[in-house]
Amino acid sequence: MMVLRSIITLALAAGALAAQTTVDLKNPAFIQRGADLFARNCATGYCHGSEGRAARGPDLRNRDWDPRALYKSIHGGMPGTTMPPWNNILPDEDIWAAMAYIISLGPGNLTSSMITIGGSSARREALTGKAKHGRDLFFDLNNQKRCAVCHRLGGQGTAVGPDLSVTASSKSADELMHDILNPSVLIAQGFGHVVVTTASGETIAGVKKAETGERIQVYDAEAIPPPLRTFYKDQIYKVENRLASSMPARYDSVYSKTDLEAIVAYLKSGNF
Amino acid sequence: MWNRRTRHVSGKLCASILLLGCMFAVSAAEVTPQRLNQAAKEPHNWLTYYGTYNAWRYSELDQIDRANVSKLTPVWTFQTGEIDGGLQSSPIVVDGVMYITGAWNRVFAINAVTGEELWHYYHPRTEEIPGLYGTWNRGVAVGHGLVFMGTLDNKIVALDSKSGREVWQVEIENAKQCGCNITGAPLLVKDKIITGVTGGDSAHRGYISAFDAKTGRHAWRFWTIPAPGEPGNDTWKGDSWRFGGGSSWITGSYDPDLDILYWGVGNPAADFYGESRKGDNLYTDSIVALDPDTGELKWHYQEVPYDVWDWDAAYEIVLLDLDYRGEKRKLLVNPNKGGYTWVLDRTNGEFIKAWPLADNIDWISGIDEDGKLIGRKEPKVGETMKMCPSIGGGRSWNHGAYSPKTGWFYSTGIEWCQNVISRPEEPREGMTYFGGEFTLAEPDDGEPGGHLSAYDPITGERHWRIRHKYPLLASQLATAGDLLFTGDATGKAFALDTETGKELWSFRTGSGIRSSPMTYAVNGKQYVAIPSGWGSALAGLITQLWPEAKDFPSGATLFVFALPE
Repeated sequence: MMVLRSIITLALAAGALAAQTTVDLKNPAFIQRGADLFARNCATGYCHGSEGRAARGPDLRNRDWDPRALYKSIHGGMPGTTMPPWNNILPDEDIWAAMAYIISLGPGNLTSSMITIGGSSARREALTGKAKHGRDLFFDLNNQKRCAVCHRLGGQGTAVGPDLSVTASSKSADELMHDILNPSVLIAQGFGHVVVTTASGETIAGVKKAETGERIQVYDAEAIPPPLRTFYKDQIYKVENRLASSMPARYDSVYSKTDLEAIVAYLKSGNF
Repeated sequence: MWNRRTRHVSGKLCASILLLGCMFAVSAAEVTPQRLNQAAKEPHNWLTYYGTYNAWRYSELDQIDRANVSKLTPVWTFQTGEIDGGLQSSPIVVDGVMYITGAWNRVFAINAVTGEELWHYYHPRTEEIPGLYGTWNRGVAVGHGLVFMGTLDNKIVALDSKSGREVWQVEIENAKQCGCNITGAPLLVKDKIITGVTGGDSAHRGYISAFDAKTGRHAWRFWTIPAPGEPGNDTWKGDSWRFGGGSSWITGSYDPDLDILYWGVGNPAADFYGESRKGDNLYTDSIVALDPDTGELKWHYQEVPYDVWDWDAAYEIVLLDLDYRGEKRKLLVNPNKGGYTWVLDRTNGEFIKAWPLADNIDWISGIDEDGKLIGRKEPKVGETMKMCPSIGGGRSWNHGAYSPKTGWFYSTGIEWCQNVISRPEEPREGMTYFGGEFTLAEPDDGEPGGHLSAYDPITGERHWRIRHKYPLLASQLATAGDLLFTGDATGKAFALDTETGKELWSFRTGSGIRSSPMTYAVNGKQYVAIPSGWGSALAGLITQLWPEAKDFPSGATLFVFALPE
């Protein structure tokens, strides 16, 4: 039997506390807001089912919930399962609204329903204008040569080349544009170009991901998306390091100048 | 991630293989495109996901037959060690070596006689998998000395077939961003490894992808939704093509003579709300016929234009050469999730026939002689409507089987309905995108439940039917021993007489069967492999109608049976 203190104050995982606000888990309007959120995010077909009736995810009805444990499972997800962390998807207040709804599906034994939460600062502000256009281009799944095929940013994308979350803040817009158009002038540490020649005569040029005494892993940068090839030492004839970047030059033929400026504006926005 | 236990594979087996000689076994590791094209000539092996490119799920092996099947006994079992999601795989067997996948992308190579593990590969777990499409995997493809698997983080991984060492991997799209991944088995055609993708219930634009089998380099992509400027984009309203679903989650078929790859495309998204994508929504719910070398579209046939029910055409595509109206025709048979089975001319996509696999179908009143849907009953915004079948389908993905001995197609069907409501929804890239909700409901007439039947593949004329309390969610295997192997939700594996449907053998595996049984032979001895392990979206969903199913135990055990010495 869980007991809830009269007021729980929750520190947000993301830090940067916004103004605190108090919500009532028994408030019908708040529960209804949670019901709508639940229908779109949690019931969804094969997950928890309509009104929590169960599908692949468990039946959520008629259960006593410890709000702290429930919050933790939703906010941070359940590692090792297919329950994702919702902290980057829904604002904190929405998570509590969905919880109010889930709790309402059971006996709802709360000694108090008033919860003070830290506002909605966990959500990033929406990008606008040029930077938003840049983001759309960076991650555009309809473009098979998009930046994110090789670069991670804000936890998304593929780590063939450097994660740009750090690079972007350390350089000016002009420097970033110069790097994009002239990738081999300044090569990020650890992302040098290697050429592997195999014992059977095949040559693979790209970024070395890892090397142990036993094997070497290289992203084949001449293909998009770059396959990660693994070679065991007995398969390798030679490995050569080259003073060049694996990033294709002339990205100005993939994107227009305006598009490249938008991508740089996104990188400089710091809003990943 | 790989581990090798032993490397001795088929030297000794080769010396004593009686069935069909050693000429195949000597090249144990080399599954060539020629062998795959002629897989039916090696019935001791099961070389592709469906056994053969034509998706018959039929074996010429007849050592186990109606007369002796009652003596069938387990000879070894194998545990994958991961029960989350059950065991949905179809094993592949090449010259005495079995390759099987488990949930969370585990791959095992096993001595098919003894059950001893030869190597395993566990793909690294990532937090980035889209949970909607589960943790399971349905199998591998083999060829060019490699074993290929699609992953939960949307990669294709190629492993050395002898050692299990990783050779290459490629990320197709970031799984977290696209809300998509791979659970189906890839298909190797010539020098290309071809895969589908999930994501049909997410805000995602689907595709079928091909990679060079030896290097992992991208070869082609067929977008299942055309972009602006391409034929068919005008069947999508506004920008809806960007997030219109169109997954390709089940393995396709291949006709080596016509050199055509056939792949079924899933539903448009949002599933139940179509106003924002008004139009036919090509190529969702379609069979697409592709050039396997280039991905070029040769023809398409759309079974359900403007789908608002989630009626994938993604299930198996069975290739049959049959007489129809006095002519020998090259046909394909495709059970659609909405409960009808479509029969098309596979040379050009001409509609031949459509017939029902379930009794309770009311989203349309019928299909006319030209293949046009009649009497559409669509979900409404703000009004809950009862309709049949449920989103789980008039049948689930688990595959039927075709026996050339009887000339019949064997398939399950499910009698169930749902209360569904449509709801406008804005797409969020990679997030679920259903546009409504449903709850399961019983049919107005009769009990909900499952059945397994024998049909004429063209007309749908039914020759026999057996009924089960729960939906049957395992694939069928037909053999020249006149047997049909499958299993049920309670864990009973069983064999039926293909001609009568009479049960001739059964064995309790302890967990429900959700996989694809297969058969093979080594040293002249026939084996039947039945993976057991309850799990999957439907395994959870059925608890809405059968609450006791909540307590059905999960599992992940492969059972291999043979006749006693």
